[in-house]
Amino acid sequence: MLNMLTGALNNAPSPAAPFHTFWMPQQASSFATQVDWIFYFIFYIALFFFLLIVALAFYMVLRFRRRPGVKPQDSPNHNTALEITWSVIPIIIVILIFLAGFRGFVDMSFVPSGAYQIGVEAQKWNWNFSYPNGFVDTELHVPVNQPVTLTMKSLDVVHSFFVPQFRIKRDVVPGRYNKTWFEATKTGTYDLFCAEYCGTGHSDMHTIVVVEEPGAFQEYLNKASKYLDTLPPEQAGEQLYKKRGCSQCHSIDGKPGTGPSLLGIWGHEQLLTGGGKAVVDENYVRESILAPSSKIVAGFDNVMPTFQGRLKEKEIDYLIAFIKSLEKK
Amino acid sequence: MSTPADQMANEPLNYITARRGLMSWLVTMDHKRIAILYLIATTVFLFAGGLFAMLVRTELIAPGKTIMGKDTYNEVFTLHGVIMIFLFIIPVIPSVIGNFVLPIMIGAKDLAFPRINLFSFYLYAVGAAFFLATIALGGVDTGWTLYTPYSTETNRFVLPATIGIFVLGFSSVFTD
Repeated sequence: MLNMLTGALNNAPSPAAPFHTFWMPQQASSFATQVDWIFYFIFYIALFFFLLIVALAFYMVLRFRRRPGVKPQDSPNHNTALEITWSVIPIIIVILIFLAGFRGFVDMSFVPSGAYQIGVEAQKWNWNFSYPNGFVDTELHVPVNQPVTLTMKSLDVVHSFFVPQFRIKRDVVPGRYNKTWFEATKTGTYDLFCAEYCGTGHSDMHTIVVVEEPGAFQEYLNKASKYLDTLPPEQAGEQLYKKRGCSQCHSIDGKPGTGPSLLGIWGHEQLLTGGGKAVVDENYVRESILAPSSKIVAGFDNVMPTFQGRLKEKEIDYLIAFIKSLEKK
Repeated sequence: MSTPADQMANEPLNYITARRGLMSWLVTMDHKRIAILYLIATTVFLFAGGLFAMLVRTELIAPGKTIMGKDTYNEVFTLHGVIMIFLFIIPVIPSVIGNFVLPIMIGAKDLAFPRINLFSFYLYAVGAAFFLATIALGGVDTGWTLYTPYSTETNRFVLPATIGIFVLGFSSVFTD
C-alpha cells in the first residue's frame, strides 16, 4: 500500500518549469522559493487557526446554547495551564515567522561580491538602466545565474522597482542611492513595474527584464552599445531624443510643453528671458544641454536639469544633427 | 390598539424623546445625541467613500480607459482613500461607539467637557467641508498618504486637503 503510494508520487509528472500558482507568479530568481515558502508558511498557519477558531466558536454556540430547563453552569474564571498554553504557542509561532522573515531580509540586504553592476535611474515615467560600459537603455537585460546589483536613484519623486517573478521590490527615492540585488534563474522576458504611485503616468511606467544566457547577453550588449553608431547621425539623435528624456518636455510637432518645441528652431533667433536673443546653432544647443540655465527661452521656466556627464560627446553631436533635421514643413 | 407614538408617550423620557426639534439636536450636549450626529455623518461618508471605490473598480473592469482618464482615476482613488481614512475609519469607533457607551460603562453622567464634545463634531464638519472644497476646486491626486516629494510637486489642490486633515486632527484630539 505504502509502496503504491510512493510509486504514484514518483511517477507523477514533475512540472518542467514551475509556472505561476494561484497565489504567486512564476519563480524566476534565487529569492523566489524562499519568499514563497514564508508566504505559504504564514498562510497555512493563519488558515489552520482560522478554521480551528471558527469551528470551535460554532461548536460552543451550538453545544452551550440556552435551553429550557438547563441552568447555566458557573464558568471557571482562571485556568493557568490554558493561559500558558495559549500564550506560549503563539509566541513560538511568531518567533519562527520572525526568524524566517529575518533570514530572507538578510539574504536580500547583503549583496554578494563580484555581482554584475547595473545603475537604475527612475524618473516620471520611465526607467533608464546603465551598464558598466556606459550604455544606457530603457529595457533591462541581465545574464542568467549571475548576481546582479542595482544601484538605484530617482530624479524626481519616489518610485519603486518591482519584478514580480523575481520577488523583489525596492523603493527608488530622490537624493540617495538604494541598492538591491537578484540572481535570475530562468531565461525569459518578465514585467518590470513601478510600484509606488508617482503621478499621471504611473500606470504606464513599466518595461521588461530580459534574462539571457551569458553569451547571448554579452552579444546583445556589444551590439546595442554600438547600435547608435551604425545609424545616420540624425536617426541616432532621434533615438536619444526618445530614450533619454528629451521628449518628456520638448515636442517635435511645434507644441510648447514644459520646454519649447524643437521643431524648426534651427538657425532661427530665440527671444530669451531677461531680454536678448540667441541664434540656435551647434554651440547654443550644446550649451542648452550641458548648462540649461544659462539661456532660457522667453516664456519658459528654468527647470531643465543639466545633462553634463549624462550624455557623451558623440551623443550630443547626434542630438544636434537630429534638431538640425527638424524643418518646418 | 396603540400606535408607536402612544407607546413612546407612555414610556419614560429618554435621550430621543426628552427634547424635540432640529435645534435640540444641533446644539445638544448629550453624549448619546452627539454619538447619533456622528453616526449619521460618518455613515454618509462611508457611502461616499464606497461610491468612489465602485468608480475605481468599474474603471478597472477592463485594461485601458473604461470610464475615466488617468488624472480623474488618480483623483478618484485619492478621494476614496482620504474619505475612508479621515472621515470614516479614524472617527467612527471612538466618536460613535465611544461617545455612546463609554460614559455608561464607566458610570459617568456624560463626557467631562460636553461643550468641547459638541465642538469636536463641528470641527469634523469643517474638516469635511475642506475636502468638499478640494473636490470643488478640482481634486487632489496624491493618494491618501500624500507622500512628499510628489505631493509638493503636483499642481493639484493639496493644501485644502491637508488643512482639512489638520482640522480633523483637532476634532480627534478634542474628544471624538
